[in-house]
Amino acid sequence: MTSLRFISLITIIFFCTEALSISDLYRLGFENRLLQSEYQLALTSKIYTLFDLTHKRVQIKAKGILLKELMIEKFDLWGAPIPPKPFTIRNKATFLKPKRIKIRPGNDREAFASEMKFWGIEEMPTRYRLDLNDEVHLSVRPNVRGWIPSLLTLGSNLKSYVITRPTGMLWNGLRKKPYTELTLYLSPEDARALYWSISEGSSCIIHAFPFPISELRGRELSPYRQQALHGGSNILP
Amino acid sequence: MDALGYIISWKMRRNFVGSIAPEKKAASSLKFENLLIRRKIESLKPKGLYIVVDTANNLLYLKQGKRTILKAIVSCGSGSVLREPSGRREWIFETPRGEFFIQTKYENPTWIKPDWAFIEEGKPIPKKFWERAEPGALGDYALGFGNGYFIHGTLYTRLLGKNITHGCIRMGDQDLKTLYETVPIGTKVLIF
Repeated sequence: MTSLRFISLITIIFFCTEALSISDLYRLGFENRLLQSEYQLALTSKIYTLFDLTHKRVQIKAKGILLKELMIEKFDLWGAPIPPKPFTIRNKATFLKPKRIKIRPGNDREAFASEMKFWGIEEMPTRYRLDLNDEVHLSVRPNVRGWIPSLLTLGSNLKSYVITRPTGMLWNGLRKKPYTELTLYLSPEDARALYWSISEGSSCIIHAFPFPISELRGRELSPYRQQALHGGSNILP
Repeated sequence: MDALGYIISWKMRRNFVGSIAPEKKAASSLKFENLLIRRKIESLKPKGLYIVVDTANNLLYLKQGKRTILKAIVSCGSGSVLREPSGRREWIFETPRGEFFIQTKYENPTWIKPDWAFIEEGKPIPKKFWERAEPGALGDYALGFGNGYFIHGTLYTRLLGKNITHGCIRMGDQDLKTLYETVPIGTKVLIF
């Protein structure tokens, strides 16, 4: 009797596991690639960043250990979807780059230490752009109220809508290459902390599931989709 | 233009979703595979003690798993630049970031001043090795984590919590003693 109960329990669990919708399958497949990418980065001795748009957070990690977590207040994703693979931060650009303090040789060290202006996190910018490989561009903006920040945001949005996006889209469209613009709005403190922590040449992963789950949920699996899912084709109708 | 972007991205998204489709894999095998990768990532985490240094906030944590054993205010690299008057050499004083290991441990260490220390002070670089030695400058203990970088003590305790060093990590006397007595050689150091 006990063994019969056990067998039925196993059967129920088996069927429950298999009775997943198409959205769950996609989610699992996406998660699989995401985890593989993270494992690849965790094997190195470098610090890496995970931009998790699904949970609205930025995680700075090393060896799989979470070192720091910053909250994304809102974001704007435009252009081609971002694959769950490791990216390299090629360039960190800002209008006013924080200037390094130049030491004048011949200073008495203690006198110098007492009078010097410190290079600290406060000097880091809150508005900057990170250029990743494969034409993925990430802009960070502070999510602050007030007319000066709003004006600056309006200016950068105008620049983005009128110049950056159209030219980027046109140029990459002609080359048949994907182009993505991602804008993250963080608190000013978090924006500064992120600028400090990220260095050119470091790696990151962007976790942006291409569909809202609700978009896939409840959809019937068409024969075309079945074919695509089971290796017939890589392109969904 | 924005609308055009959305149309193009929609087309790309359709192709993209095809490319991430879990081909020929059942949900259960995918779940199992994901669990395995999670375990693999978990296995990379240090088993014993490890040190985490937050250079932005000048904080050092001594951790074991998720538990924090020690939290100390430190001083990290100033990010400042020193150029040799001849212009041949330049130094950027930053604390290196990434994964390191405690390689050496010294009690009452003597600082062997590198060239930049003399250039900074406007003094000639000595030819004799012993002229570079400066006892007491590094405090009571020093823990080396490679490439000449150390976690050591300081004479300027009022500057703890500020980015002021030449790349080393300076600590207060009591915290340094605790750290020195707790961590063995080989302890992982994660700096970000």
